[in-house]
Formats: sequence, structure tokens, C-alpha cells
Amino acid sequence: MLPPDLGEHSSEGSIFLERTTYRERRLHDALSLVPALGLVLFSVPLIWGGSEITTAQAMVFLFLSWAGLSALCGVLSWFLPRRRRKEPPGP
Amino acid sequence: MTILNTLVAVSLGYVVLLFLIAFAADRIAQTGRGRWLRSPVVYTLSLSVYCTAWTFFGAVGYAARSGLEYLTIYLGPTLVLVGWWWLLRKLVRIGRSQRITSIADLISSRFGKSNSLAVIVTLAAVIGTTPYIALQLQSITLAVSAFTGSVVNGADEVVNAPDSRSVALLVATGLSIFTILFGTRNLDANERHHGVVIAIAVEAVVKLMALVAVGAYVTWGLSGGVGPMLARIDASVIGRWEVDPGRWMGLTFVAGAAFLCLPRMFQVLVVENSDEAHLRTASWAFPLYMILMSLFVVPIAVVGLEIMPEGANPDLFVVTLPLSQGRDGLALFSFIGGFSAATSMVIVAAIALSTMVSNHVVMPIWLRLQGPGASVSGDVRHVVLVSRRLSIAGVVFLGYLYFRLSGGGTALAAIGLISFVGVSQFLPALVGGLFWRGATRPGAIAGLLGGFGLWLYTLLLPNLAAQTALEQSLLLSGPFGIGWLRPQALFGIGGIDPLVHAMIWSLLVNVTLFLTISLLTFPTPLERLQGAQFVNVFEHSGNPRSWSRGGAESEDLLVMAQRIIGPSEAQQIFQAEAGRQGLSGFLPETTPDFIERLERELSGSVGAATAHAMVAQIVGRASVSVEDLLAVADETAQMMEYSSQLEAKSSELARTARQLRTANEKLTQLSRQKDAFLSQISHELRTPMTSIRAFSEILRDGGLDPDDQTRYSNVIHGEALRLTRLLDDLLDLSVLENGQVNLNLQEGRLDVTLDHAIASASAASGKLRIRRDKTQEGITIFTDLDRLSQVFINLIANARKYCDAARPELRISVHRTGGTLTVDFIDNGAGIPSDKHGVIFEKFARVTSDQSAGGAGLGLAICREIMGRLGGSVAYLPGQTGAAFRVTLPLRAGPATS
Repeated sequence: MLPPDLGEHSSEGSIFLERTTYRERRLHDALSLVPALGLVLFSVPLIWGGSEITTAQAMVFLFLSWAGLSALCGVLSWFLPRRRRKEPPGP
Repeated sequence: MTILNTLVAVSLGYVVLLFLIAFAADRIAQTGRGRWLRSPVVYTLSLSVYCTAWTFFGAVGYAARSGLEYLTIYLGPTLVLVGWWWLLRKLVRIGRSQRITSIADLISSRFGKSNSLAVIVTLAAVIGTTPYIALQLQSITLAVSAFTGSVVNGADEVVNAPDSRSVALLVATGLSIFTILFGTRNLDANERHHGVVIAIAVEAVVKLMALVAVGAYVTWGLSGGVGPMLARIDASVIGRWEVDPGRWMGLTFVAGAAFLCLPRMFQVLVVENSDEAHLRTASWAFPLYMILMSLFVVPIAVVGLEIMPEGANPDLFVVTLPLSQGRDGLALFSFIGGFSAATSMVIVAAIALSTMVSNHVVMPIWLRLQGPGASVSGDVRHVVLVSRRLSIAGVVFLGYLYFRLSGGGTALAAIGLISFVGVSQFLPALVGGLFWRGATRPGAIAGLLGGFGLWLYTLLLPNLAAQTALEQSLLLSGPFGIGWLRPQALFGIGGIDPLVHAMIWSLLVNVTLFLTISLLTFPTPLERLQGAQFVNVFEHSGNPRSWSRGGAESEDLLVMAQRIIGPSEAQQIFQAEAGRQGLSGFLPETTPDFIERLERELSGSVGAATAHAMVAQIVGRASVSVEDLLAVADETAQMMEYSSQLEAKSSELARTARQLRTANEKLTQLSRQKDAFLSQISHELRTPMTSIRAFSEILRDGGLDPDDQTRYSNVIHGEALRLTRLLDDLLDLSVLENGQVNLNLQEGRLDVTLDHAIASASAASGKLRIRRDKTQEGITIFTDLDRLSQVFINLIANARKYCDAARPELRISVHRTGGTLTVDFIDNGAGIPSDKHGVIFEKFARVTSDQSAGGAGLGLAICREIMGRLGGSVAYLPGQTGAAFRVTLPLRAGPATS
């Protein structure tokens, strides 16, 4: 059983706020991991050395993973809360 | 030559269009209606200065030569962008909060606003960017030559064509003029260039559309769709997947680094950024843009290789392929796309580099030449603008020079990669400075110099010296025949791709030096503060205290600020600050806060190091003293100092309050004493008066026998005497207290004075026995003998009156110590109770309530006053057999002891 503050059907109030903060943090984690995923994806061609991969196949793989990576980043960035658009406290 | 004319006409028309767009955008921005000029879309499109003529022309050539390796140039930046949360966000936040103007400014700011570091970065950036600008000129020249048809096969001959140099020179001149017009138009020298950014965004769209159009034509027009196209790719010479893993990883890394460190990229990413939130759009939209830009590269290359004659320059396929198919319109559009890519790069790079050169090289030199006070007297804005314009022209001309020198024969991608590795040398200092507080200025300088020096030696030099005798001897046998120093095989480790070789060695040395020297050295206080601000930019937004209060003259600062950022802006800032401080007018207090803010404002125009130096000129605090201050003004220390100040203040207040309370008590007591004195004196005067009145009434009524008459008369006479005595005493006391007494100083013997006093005091009764030690008394004194005698009489009379012993006895003993004489009067009575010791010398103080003694209680008060006048004292001596008084006096009283 989930503790009440992690349950799917928890009530509103302070628990709700904690939940959003928690989600936000995990969103940041996910965003920070996107480049790592990209690094892995873009390193895949390195193991093709001796195999019979054609340029067309490589292109399809690279462009698809490239587009997927951008899309993932776009989705995650989209879900970032927009309220903190405060300008930095510069002059 | 009609095609050439058309080309020139279209190009000119396109440039005029850009002019108009840039001009309109500037106008709109000035009126303040241009919020859309700063939208996320425009920001994303402006990032496309990354995709230069290298991408437009060179990528196809690259693909034709090395297959898919060209993709690394876009995969690296993609990784940087999708990781925006991790690095770019911090970079942009710092850039905005510190008002960073260039990458040199950022690195110099981070390491204690060091100008030497800024100069190194600036020079490195200029050297590193020069081949890149040459690349743009070369690509335009090539494209033009493709149209004129003079040469289509091979770049070498193109250079020899008579018009290639003049074309390059023409393009360079045109670009300089455009950049100067729009890059330095803003007289307020604000680093945001609305017009230029919009023009670049338009160019971004044009070049994307041009490349996609050619790609679509090749894919659907020449190959019949996606499926056949893919089959055609597999069937081509680059159909096999062949990639060198070292180059693949290395180029991805270098491209990512260059995306951050290229001066023009830093300009659009950080300096021109108007809202941090734009990053979240750019993070996914710009990778998509790059996908579209590179999607059709391989198809164009494959079809080009197939259709075009052997030996055709693959860098030009984008133009020559449509031309060969008779699609002149498409070719023209393609040319305009490439022209856009080249011009946008040159424009932004020239702006970025000119900012760096003018802020970090020209301005410091100018300031030094002008000597102290230059910030106030000179027209700085004029100097800034002129130096920027000259720098732009200089940077573009350098590119042209490189183009001439290098012979223009190298493949475009190879030139670009040389630049990439060069600017990547900024990465360790940049990222290290952003995430590691231990990074120091000497470390950064050592890393930069080491890495950049190796880059020059292993990459730029071999490239510049290409096809010369020097190259042959250097590359094959090393300098002076030292084999292990061969530029492309350091320490004998040869056989590596020259680019990867240079990249690994330069970055390895760079990072090693940066880390080692940083670990070994100690940062200056300013550096540490800046470091904390950069590394923890999200945690604390507070500004460091870098200016001590006071020295700066508000008016001088205003004059200087007006010269740098323009009168109206400067006045606005000063007025706002004055308002914030609750003052009217334009001259606020020069608080450290304000100077800090002003400095940052100025650094937006001339860079942090220069702004710091200029403010320092006026504030008059040498940087040493600022740093000294900073060392002390660690925030904790400040707080502690403040609290200890508060503590000191509060204890001072408490002390004052105590003093006030004491004073108040004294005043209250004095007031009570005064009341007591008045009531006493009226009582003292009233008692004899009453007797006198009563007896005089009896006498007036008459009918008394002579005895009674005599008796009553005597009573009246006695009371009158007593009154007189009382009034005499009062008068005496008041004279003494007011210090108006004239002392009659004379020489005399103590025993004589004592004899006289005893005789006077004991005249009334001989009951009191007096014991003296005459041997001790033979002392000559110089004082007012009459007054002294008066004191003695008083003391003896007191003993006579108040000694309650059965056989009263008074012992008078005399001692002499040094120049001081003490005379003790000690009786054998009960003495004076200890609680009365404090009051017996006060006026009207009487130990007993016995009125019969006949004193008014003024005697001892008078004694004390007299002794004070004579330079001595009279005090009660406790702990003796009875009441005891000690008279202390100097053997020789001063002439005027009052």
C-alpha cells in the first residue's frame, strides 16, 4: 500500500502541493537525463564497426533517434511549470 | 555574363531587403512595440547562425567525402541543447544577471574581472574565428564561380580565376558595411541588436527553405521518392557504413563545445537572450531545425556524385546540381540560401569579436593612455563605437587575409573544424568556472595558453603552411629535426587522424593545466566572490559588496555614465536610484550597492573589466584596497561586525542611561537638600526671633522690676548674638562656597595656632581635658592661620559640646608625612553613628536633635570649605575611641588654591 501522500487518489491541500513539488523535481531529473540518453543513442553507431549496416539504415536510425530526443526534450520542457518566469534580479 | 548580372542583382536586392527588415525592426524596437521581436521563435531562429556556409555548402561536400560523419557537427549541439537544464540555463542566467557582453567577458568576470584573461580569450577567439570567416568568403566566391561557369571542377583553379579575389573582397567589404551599420547603430551601446537578430532570423528561414527545396527536388524530382532515394544511397560509393569511432566521438564533443564557445554562438545564445524561458523552446526546436538542415545532405551528395562529372567540387553540389539540370531558378534560390548562411555568420561573428576587441583590448589601452580622470573627461561612447567599427572591419579583413593566404583550396569542413577545435579551448575554463569554485585565474590562464598554443602548433600551423616546403620538413621530420615534436605526431604517437590528434593533445594539456594550477594556487578575494556568484547563481542572487562606501563622487559617476550609456539612460538610472534612496534630483548617495549596480550597467556597454577599471578611476579605490575590503567583508564577518557594533551601541546607551539616572538622583537629592536648607534656616532664624519678640514685648509693656528687666534684656541680647553668629556663619559659608574668600597666607607655628584655638574654644568651660604632645607640634606652616584656627576651634568646641563621656577628654595628635600635615582630634565619647558619617559635613546637619548645644549645624560644613580652600581636607576618622576628626593640610598652601 502506498503511503497516503504518494497515493494516486490523495486529497488536496498541503499534500497536493508537496506532490507538485515532487513531480517538478523528478521532471528536472528527467530533463537532466535527456543528454545522457542522447549520448547513448548517438554512440550506438560506434558498435556497428564490422557489421553490414548500410548508410540508409544508419540514417534512418540516427534521424529517428535524433527527432525522438528532440521530441522528448520538448515534451518535458513543455510540462515544466511556467510560473517561475521571474526575471533574474539584475539591474 | 548575364547570369552573373542576375546574380549580383538578386544578391543586392536580397541585401537591401535585409537592410529594410533590420531597419524596420530597430524602429519598432525603439518605439517599444516589438515584443514579438523577442519571441522564442526568433530566438531559436537566431541560433541558426550555427549553420553557416559550411553547413549549406560544406556539409554536402563532407558527406560526399566521409559519409555520415558530417552529422556529428549537429549531434554535439543537440546534446548541449537537450541538456539545457543542466548547463545552458545556468549560462544564460549568469549572462543576464552579470550583464555579460561576450565569452571573454564571462571568463574574465568569473576569474576576478581579470583583463589579462579577457585579452587572452579575445585574441584566441579572433585567431580561432579567422579561418571560419575565411570559409564563408571562400564559399561565396566558389558559389559565384559556379554560376559564372569559369570553373566547375576543382577549387584550386577557381582561386586562380581573375575575379575570385575581387569577389571575396567585395563580399567582405559589403558585410563589413552591413555589420557596422546595424551592429553599432545603437548609440546606447546596449548589447542587444534587434535589427541584426531579426535579419538573421529571416536568413535562417531563407537558408532552410533553400536547402529543403534543393533536397526535395533531388529526392522527388530526380530520384522519385523516399524509397528509391534510400536505395540509391545504399548503392552509392558512400553506401557502406564506415565511421572512425575516434573521429565520431571527438567531433561530436568538439561540436558541442564549439556550440557554447564560438563567439557568435555565445552572442546569440547568451548575450542576445532576452528571456530565460526562450531556452525551453529552443532546446527542442533548434535540434529540429538542424535535423531539417541535415536531412537532405546525403541525398544531395549521393545524387551529385552520381550525376556530376568526375572531379566536380562536392562542396558546390547544392548549386551545381540544379544548374546542371537547367533549374536556374532553384540554383539561384540555393545560392541565396548559401549567401544567407555565410552573411549571417560573418555579421554575428564580427559583432561578437568587435565587442570583445573593443572592450578588452582597445578600451583598456585607451584608458591607460588617457591617464587618470579619463572616464570623466573623454567622450567614451564615441571611442567605444569607433573602436567597434574598426574592429569589425579588422576582423572581416583578417578573414579575407586568411582566405588569400590559405589559397582557398581546402575543403570547407576541414577549415571549420580547425576553428572548432580552437574555440573548444575555452570550454575547460568556461564549464570549470561555472561549476567549480576552486577554479582560479592562473589555472584558467595556464589552461588556455597551453591548449591554444598546442592548437596553433598541431593544427593551424600545418594547415597554413600547406603545400609549402616548410610543411614538408615540419610534418615529416619535426622542427629542427626533432622527431618527437612533429606537429601531427607528438611524442612519436603518430597514425592518428590529425584533427583528433590535435584535439586530444590540446584539450588534455588544457584541462590538466587548468586543474593542476587551480589546485595549487589561491584565488584573490574578488575571484572567490565572483566564483561563488557564478557557481551558486541559482541559490543567491545577492550582489557582492565590491565597493567601499564613500569615496565616489556621485556627479563624476553621472558624467561618466552619461558618456558611456547615453545621457537620458544614465540620468534615468541615477534618478531612479535617488528615488529609491528617498532623495530628489539626480545625485544619489554613492552606496556600495549603487556603485555595484552602476558598474554592472556600464559593463553591459564596455565589459566587466573595463567598467570595473573606469569606476575604480572615479571611486578612487585601488583594486588592492577593494580586495582588502572584500577579504574582510566576508558576509559572516560583516554580520558579526554589525552585531558587535549594535552591542557596543546598546552598552553605550545603557551607560548613558545609568549616568542619567545618577544625575537625576543627585538633582532630586539637591532639590530635597535645598528644601531642607530653607526650612532649616527659617527655623534657625525663627527660634531666636521668637524669644526676642516675646521678651521685647514684655519690656515694652513695662512694670518690671529692674532685675527682671536686666534678665530679659540679657536674653534678648543673647538671642541677638546668636542670630548674628548664625548670619555670620551663613555669610561665611556662602563666601567660602562661592570661592570669593581671600586667604591671608602667612607663616606661623602650629602649636601657637593650637594654643590660640584651645584658648578660644575652652573659654567658656574648663571641663574638657585636652591632651597634647607638644614635641610633635613644633612645626612651621605657611597657610591662612586665622582660618585654620577657626577649623580647630570648631572641632574643639564640638568635642566640648557633644562629648558625652563622664570625664570628657580630647586628644590632639600631630603627624607629618612629607609635605603633608595631619592633625587628629579624638575624644573619648560615644562617637558618631556610622550612618551619620556621610552627613555631618552637610549644612544644618546635626547628630543629635538637641537644640541646647546652640549650634546651627554649619560648623563642620564651614570647616570642610575652609580646608578645601587651604588645599587640605577634614574628614571623620572612624574606628577610634570616640568621635575623631582628621585635618589634613599641606605644609605650604599654594598661593591661589581656589
